[in-house]
Amino acid sequence: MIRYTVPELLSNGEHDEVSSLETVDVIFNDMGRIVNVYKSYPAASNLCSLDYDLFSPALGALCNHITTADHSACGLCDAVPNAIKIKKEPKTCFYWQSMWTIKWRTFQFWRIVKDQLALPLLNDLCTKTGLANKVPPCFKSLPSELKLKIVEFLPGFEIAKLGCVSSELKDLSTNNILWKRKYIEDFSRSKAEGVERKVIRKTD
Amino acid sequence: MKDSFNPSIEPPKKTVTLVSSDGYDFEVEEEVALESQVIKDGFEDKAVDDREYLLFNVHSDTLELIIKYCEKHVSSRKSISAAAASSSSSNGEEALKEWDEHFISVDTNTLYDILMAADYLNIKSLLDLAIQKVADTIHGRSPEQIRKKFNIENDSIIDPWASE
Repeated sequence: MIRYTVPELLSNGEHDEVSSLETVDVIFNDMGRIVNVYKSYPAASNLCSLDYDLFSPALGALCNHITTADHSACGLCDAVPNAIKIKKEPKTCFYWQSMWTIKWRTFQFWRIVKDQLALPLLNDLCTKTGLANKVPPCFKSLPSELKLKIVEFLPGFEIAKLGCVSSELKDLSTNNILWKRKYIEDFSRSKAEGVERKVIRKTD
Repeated sequence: MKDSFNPSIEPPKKTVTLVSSDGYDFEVEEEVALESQVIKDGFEDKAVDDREYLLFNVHSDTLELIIKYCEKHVSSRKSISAAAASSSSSNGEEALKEWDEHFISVDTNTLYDILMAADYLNIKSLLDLAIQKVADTIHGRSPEQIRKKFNIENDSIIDPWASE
């Protein structure tokens, strides 16, 4: 169990008296292969399940190469910050294939942690402290699933452009299945029209 | 219309109560609520007098819009099929499209609220409508303009593959 205190959130409000210390517990339950994450507020509920076998090799590889910090047996608590660190300062080059797998797994892991753990917790905390109306919804706060759906609605050229916007959008737009579908969409259409299409690659 | 024992009296419309995240009750007709796949899925298992849905993720402002959308779609679907049955020409579908276009022309915050709620309630047509709207915003903008529009900072890293 990890405990964080966020005094900025708890002391927010018009009450003069110091409110009693309130906590939200996030419980990591190690079930062997699966690590279940629970929260205690507003109702005890399951946040997400993380498959140890699926993610630990990729995250482990990242941690070993980038930091010497030796992480706990669970690997989760340390893996998260380290996984973020690698994205900022990559120092090692792996073989293309393994690098891609690691990148993809890390991204999957990051998506689960963000969408199923961090965002719901943020929402709950905002509701609890009456900040709900102060956090306007924005593109960044959409769950990845929805962002991916938006990307799917765009033509290939726009997706390539979108990939230049930020690292998250780059990860989202670098998706073989997506590109395969876009390729079929674009080129089957041009075939039907009998028009030769030129694909212009624009570099930002 | 199904036969009832007393045809002179309209059968009372079955309603469902939707409760928004901020605690407001919305009483809507059953078929309007059933536009949401999520409600539809568990609908038959629920007792008739206990058809109340707590929508923790949907604020009352958004829920009001969503209900408006569902009501419009249910009623226009009916009128379209009625027009088709009487084989009279109608431009119901075009009118509905126009209505949709007008409906989704909202400010950015509302658009994201609708998007999230449509996803949460799994209303396919509304979700597609909202996604198309966001996609249209991206269309034809440069990366820098997109960053500005969506308030995204450029955290692109140097590609590790590029150094190979």
